[in-house]
Amino acid sequence: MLVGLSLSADGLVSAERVRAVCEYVAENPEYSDKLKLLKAYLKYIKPLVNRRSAVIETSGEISKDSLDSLLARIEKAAGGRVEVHTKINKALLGGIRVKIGDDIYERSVSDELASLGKF
Amino acid sequence: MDEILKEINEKIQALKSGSSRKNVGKIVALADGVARLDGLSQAMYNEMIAFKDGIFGIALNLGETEVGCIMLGDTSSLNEGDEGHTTGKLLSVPVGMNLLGRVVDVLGRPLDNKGDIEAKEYYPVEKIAPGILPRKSVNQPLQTGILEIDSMIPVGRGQRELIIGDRCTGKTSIALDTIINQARINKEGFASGNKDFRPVYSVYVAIGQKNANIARTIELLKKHDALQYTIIVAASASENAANLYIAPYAGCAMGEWFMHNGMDALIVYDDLSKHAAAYRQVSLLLKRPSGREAYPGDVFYLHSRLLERAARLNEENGNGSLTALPIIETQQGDVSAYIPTNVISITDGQIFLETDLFNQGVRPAISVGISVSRVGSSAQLKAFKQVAGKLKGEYAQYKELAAFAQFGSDLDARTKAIIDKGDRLVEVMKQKNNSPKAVEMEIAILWALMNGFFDDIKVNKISEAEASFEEFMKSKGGAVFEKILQQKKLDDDIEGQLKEICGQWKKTFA
Repeated sequence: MLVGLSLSADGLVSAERVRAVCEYVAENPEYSDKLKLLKAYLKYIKPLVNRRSAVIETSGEISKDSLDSLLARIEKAAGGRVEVHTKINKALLGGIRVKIGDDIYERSVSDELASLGKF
Repeated sequence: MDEILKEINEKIQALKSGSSRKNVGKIVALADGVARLDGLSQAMYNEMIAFKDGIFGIALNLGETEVGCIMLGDTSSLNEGDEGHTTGKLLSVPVGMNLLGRVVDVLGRPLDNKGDIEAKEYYPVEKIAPGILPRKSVNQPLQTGILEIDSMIPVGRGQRELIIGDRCTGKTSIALDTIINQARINKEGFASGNKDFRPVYSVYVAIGQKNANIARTIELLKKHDALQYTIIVAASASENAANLYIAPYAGCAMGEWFMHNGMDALIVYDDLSKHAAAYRQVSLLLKRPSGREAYPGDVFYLHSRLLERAARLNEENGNGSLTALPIIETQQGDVSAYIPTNVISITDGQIFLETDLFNQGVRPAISVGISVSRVGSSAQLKAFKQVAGKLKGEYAQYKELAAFAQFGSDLDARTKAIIDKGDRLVEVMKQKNNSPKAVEMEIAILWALMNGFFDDIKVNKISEAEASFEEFMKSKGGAVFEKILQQKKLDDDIEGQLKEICGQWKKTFA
């Protein structure tokens, strides 16, 4: 029930609502083992947050147009709004890596080299 | 140089260029060969999970938010927070003829410094056993070369025959003698040029044994020139429980390759008691609920799914077979313990070894009374049945009477005759380690025994007489041996020849 209360109308985890839930739990004397409850709450909320947040790693800066088109594709695949964070990762040696939840989509030189190394 | 560049280019061309998708998880806990990972929401049951430094794990517990993984190999380089990703593959091992003569670990990687193993095929370690339709009844014998087993507890190709007994009663010796005998038969068969000859290849799986014992086994097989027909899968006591748990399945996959390719194979699991203990350890670490003796609830399925993979396939499915000799170590002869009763009920019979017999010098220390082969007799050669048909009954009668005879000295003539014959039978059945006998020799020995040629020899001289008889038969019995092997049954002509040769031997021995 607490997880349901944490979602906004668009189905995303709302930071405000999460804060409110945490405060409610902290202040409510009905909950005896608050730490245990909050830990369980975190366990279930974490995958939901991860699923709606993407990390895009590139070996260099990418243009806003490219980022927007990438975001549109990610949101289409995820079936809703996704919060995006970008990161420069020189180790990719060229290419891109997108992490959404516990899935990683990658097309990079370092990945190709790693698969070459398996021979 | 050009060739090297060409090869590299080919490898690059062969690479699929495109985006990759991985499902990842982070290690939240790692201890005792078991890791718990946060994430891995797409992981499949029994899927290989890849970690850094070429370390692999197997997903065994799929939870709502966590995945429990058993780790294969050395995990000392892994830390909390390290990532592991799904591979989309079930754990597989290399299979094929190239593995013969090699010592490998549970992943099929060589341990013998003989170089890489070039394998064209890989088989999944966990595979569903052949169903009902592809199977056929056991109808071909698997000669162990041990007179007592071949005559009274015969094993057929595709059978599962348990070897059970306390520690140091000769369980491994029986299995190794069987492997050595297959190698001897293979060598003779290949040398004969007989196109119909069906060799038996062996797989020996060492589970939780001391490294010194595994080294001794390898040396023994080498000494008897049997290693060339054998694959040794070693998961020693120094390895983690996950490796011990996987080892028999890996060995079984290697044996199955022979079966699915129309060949015959023999697999020895040495031993399944340690395997069950390793699985118990893994299950407890994975926090699975424990049952009797702290074993998990699926410990029966652990062994039943393994042993069901040993089968005899019908002609439409290649006519191959996989014979399994699982070994179980009992504690103080208690066959009614949890794991022994499980495996007894799964297998097609058991060879029970007794400490008392071993200490009395009866070796192999087989307790004939409670040893049984449920399907092997239908595969036994007719000639063997002719000479050994009544043997088990007579032996049981002797044991019963010998027990009563201890209480009194006055015995009637019939009882005395049965006891005398039994005493000789026990002596004839004694056999030295690593000296398997050819089937035709076993038949000749039993024929001589059943026809009274050992009757007037003192009991303490029987072993000597048997050795002398074997030597004599080797030099004079060539023609009759050939006839026995051709006709596979004893007729008047063969019996006449045996009688004549036995008579000649008797004169020389007396």
